[in-house]
Amino acid sequence: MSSRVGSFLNGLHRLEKAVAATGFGGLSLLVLSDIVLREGLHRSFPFGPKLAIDLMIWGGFLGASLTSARGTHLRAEAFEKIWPVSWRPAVETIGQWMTAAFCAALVYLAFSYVRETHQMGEVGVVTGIPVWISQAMIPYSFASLTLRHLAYAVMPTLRPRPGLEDLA
Amino acid sequence: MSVLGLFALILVLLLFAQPLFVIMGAVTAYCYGVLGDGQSLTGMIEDIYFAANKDLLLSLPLFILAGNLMTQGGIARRLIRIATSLTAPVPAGLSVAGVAACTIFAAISGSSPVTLIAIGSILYPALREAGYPKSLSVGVLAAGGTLGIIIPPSIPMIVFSIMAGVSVTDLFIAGVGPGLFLALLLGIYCVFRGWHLPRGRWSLTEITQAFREGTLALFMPLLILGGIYSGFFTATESAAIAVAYAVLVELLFHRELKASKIPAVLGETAELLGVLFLILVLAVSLNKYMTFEEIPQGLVQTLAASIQSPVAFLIGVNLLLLVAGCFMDAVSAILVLAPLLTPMAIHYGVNPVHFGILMIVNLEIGYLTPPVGVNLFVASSIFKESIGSVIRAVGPLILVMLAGLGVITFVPKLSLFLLK
Repeated sequence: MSSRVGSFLNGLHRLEKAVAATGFGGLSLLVLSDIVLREGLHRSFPFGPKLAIDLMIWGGFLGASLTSARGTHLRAEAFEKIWPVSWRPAVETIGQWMTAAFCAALVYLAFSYVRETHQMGEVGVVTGIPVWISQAMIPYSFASLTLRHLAYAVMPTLRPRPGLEDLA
Repeated sequence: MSVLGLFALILVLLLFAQPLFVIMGAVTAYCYGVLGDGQSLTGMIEDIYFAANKDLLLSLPLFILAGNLMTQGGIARRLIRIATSLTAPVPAGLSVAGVAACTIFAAISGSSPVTLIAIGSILYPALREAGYPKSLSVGVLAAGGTLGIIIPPSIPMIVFSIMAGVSVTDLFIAGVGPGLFLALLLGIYCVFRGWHLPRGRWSLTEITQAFREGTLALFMPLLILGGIYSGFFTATESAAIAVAYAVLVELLFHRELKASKIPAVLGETAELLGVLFLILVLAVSLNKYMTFEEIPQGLVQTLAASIQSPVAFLIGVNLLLLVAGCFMDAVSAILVLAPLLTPMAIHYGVNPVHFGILMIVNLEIGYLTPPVGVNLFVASSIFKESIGSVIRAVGPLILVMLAGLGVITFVPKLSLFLLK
């Protein structure tokens, strides 16, 4: 069971990383195109930077999920040291449940918000793209985080242990 | 009662080692849902989206990407070669070269631990082989690495800019003077500590070859800062130019990056941005609530009643930030403290750009102070020394940096002289 869930989470991680990487590649090209068109051809390209922001929102929220997969979210670790050593595994498990619960609550709130935007039919002023598409990554990323931390709560062996390179 | 509930919530989340994004998000939700004047929790998500939908945020992934691309190859080795060729006849020249290489590398990477790893892992064995004392070698590289966040481009400066509403261009320009000043102080310390060590000689051939190999790397900081300072590019645009330059240089000239590796570098960028992005947008959302409720203004009035002098304020705020730096990383401290402290600083007549630089320098020292000084752990790991010996090695360097902090605090011109 644990290995199947682990394989699923690894696959999800690879997919999310590929989408985020594509987004960052795209946003770099869009910002550069804007500069080249403006400075080289004296033409404006307002669509580019606006779409770049949408891609950053996707990449940024996906990045939060990728960070959980590596176990490198910033945290104040000094406080957990007050627990007796024998209690720490249980404390860590409760902590994973708490993170999952928080993320699940945000999935609900974010989904409600995106649904409202969708129903109102809002579109980007410059891009003409429906705004909900850019916002959809918020509930998705919290759903992915919920799934991941639930798995870490139930199956401690799946929890990532960050190394030295992750400090940077 | 409701405020007590907020503190209880924070305490419980800290005790269960919750990630900062959960703490920040739970506090924001509590403020919106319990303390707020009828603002709905869906409004919090709307604020998160608006916080993420900012032009300036684009500079974060672009600078992280440029730094990642430039550090794939042997750029640190090239910069070290230039620095060592120039400092050969200086007393303790190799350690001075370490400081110089960290200074230049900081202008490419924007991260302190990355600077320490890149320069330290190459230069530490060379320093030890050349007979430099262990304490000097460890101390100067760990301290030199902290320059990563004060010399632009700097990720904490971008975060400060977002949280305090200060121009990131001004912060980048203002960081140059204090960054070079701190590097100079570290260099002087090396000269005095290593006066007795054997010196080399200048070799025109070596200097020429070093520059031939490393000129393109040296040009990147000039491109970024020159573009921003001349007003030709915004900070975000200069970050995009840096990405294009990094790809061209590493692919076509240095040939140390393969095109097939670029997707992996983009993926790493997403993971690094993920550490910042969520807490940043949640913090901006919380900041919006605090501004709406006029909390910073209330704190300013309370503080103004008890502290009259700007000097006392600056000393107090430096002490607070030094203590915060001992327990929090730079980005977390900026997210929490910048929105509260900046209005106070303005009230006492401190230029907000100067205040931003002060905050960064204080938190830069926090990279060297236990219990959570990141550079201590990185240095201990890459130099294979105990944490205790690293702490002893950086002790004198912390004093040097505190002296520098004193000058930077009370001589605002050092930060502001380049600003137009």
